Amino acid sequence: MKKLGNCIRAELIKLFERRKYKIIIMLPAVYCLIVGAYSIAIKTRFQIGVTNIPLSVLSVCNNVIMPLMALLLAADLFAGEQEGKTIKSLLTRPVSRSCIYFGKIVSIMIYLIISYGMTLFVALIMSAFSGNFTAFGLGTCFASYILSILPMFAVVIVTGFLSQIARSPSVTIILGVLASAAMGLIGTLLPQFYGMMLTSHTGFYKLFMGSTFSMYTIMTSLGMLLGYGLVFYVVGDVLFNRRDY
Amino acid sequence: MNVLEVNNIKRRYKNGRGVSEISMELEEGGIYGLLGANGSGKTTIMKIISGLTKKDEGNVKIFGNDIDEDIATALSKVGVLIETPALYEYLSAEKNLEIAAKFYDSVTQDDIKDILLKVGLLKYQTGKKDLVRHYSLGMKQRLGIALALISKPGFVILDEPFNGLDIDGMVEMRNIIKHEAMENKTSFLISSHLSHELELICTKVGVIHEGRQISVASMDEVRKSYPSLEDYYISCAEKADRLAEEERKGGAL
Repeated sequence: MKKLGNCIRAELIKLFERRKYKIIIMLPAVYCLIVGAYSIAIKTRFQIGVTNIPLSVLSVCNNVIMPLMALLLAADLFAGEQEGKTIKSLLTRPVSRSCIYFGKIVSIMIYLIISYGMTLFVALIMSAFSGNFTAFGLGTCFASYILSILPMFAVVIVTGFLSQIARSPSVTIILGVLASAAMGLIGTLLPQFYGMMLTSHTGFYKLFMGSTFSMYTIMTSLGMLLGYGLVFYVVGDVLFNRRDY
Repeated sequence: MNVLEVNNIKRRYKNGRGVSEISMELEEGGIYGLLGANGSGKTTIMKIISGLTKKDEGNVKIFGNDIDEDIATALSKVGVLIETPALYEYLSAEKNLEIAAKFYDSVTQDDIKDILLKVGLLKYQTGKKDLVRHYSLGMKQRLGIALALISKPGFVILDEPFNGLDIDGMVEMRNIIKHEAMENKTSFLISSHLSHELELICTKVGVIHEGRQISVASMDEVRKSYPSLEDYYISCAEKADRLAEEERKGGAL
């Protein structure tokens, strides 16, 4: 456990020392700021606007921004280090390869969770300014953001796997985008397979809302996410362990 | 107990290259030099010992710990510099060392300063934000060696440690290696194609030729029989080529 903690700390130092990642972590919050400002502006003028800024922003974050950030992080922390051979500095330390692999996955997740937190914070402030702020809404927002972490964990694991088969950062990103597009296309053309696509589970938090609440649907979605996570984690870990450096 | 025990390791790559029948033992405080031409297999041997590359056959024990059973324990007292130094160029030297230090309980901030001083990097630094990407080749090599020595390991693997160093740097590096071996009983496995450098520091030398260790001798034995390590190497390589040629002719008949 201590070794895993050391791996995570080392990865986080690498991430937060880079200007690029100091900026990228704020992108969802900046997007939220723009949406919120726009919503307040049109509400003032036309009396219409986005009714729930945190949830509107969350949907875009879960489907586009966060998966792209996960892809970029995996491309750098896995494929980038393997291509640049800096991975040797970790592999020659007294720690197992599995621990390094898991440490990288967890550190990407921590980075995304911080970004979710920043986005929620900005979203709530914008909601307060727009006058759509209730105690019930606050609870729903918190729950939705927390529930969004689960599918994102599966997304991060899949991006980790992609970086193992891609071997270079640019190919990792291309593969990720293609995989996402392919899943979207299959889900549209073959609706019977829609529920099997990872992209259809990024809105996991919506299953807990209002009249759509169904324990069966929640358990099915949870099962799919766990399945994706376990399968791609194991295969990614095996590939990482087997490789020569 | 030997610091390093390598028994009959073999690794064959898809292109037919690789290493085979490699065995070696290294005692505490010993400096084992691997001498060979470019592409002879020195780096592959070191990568197998440090767990970076998988082997097809044989076994490796470091301080009695088999690398196949528990690589983390086996590497707990090992420092490694293989090929080019693995450096995060967007970080400073201190940050690179801090990241490495995270994996050891005993390394302190003072140890980081000490090692920077020892490898002669402090004199080049202009500030804390002095990023590695602005370093010269020699400075990067010094930092690579600092990363290998940061945990005060009992066994250090150095692949071409003199690469990129100027004359002062080579002398300093030689003195560091000798000092660590004599004062702290640190063992070294060093590869180089510079026979003169190995001659000055090694206690034992193995000649690697086309993926095989064709000869092992102590430096005292080499000095007794040959004018220099270079002559010993050339003699071993010629002998191996002659034997291979005879085998080929025998096979053709």
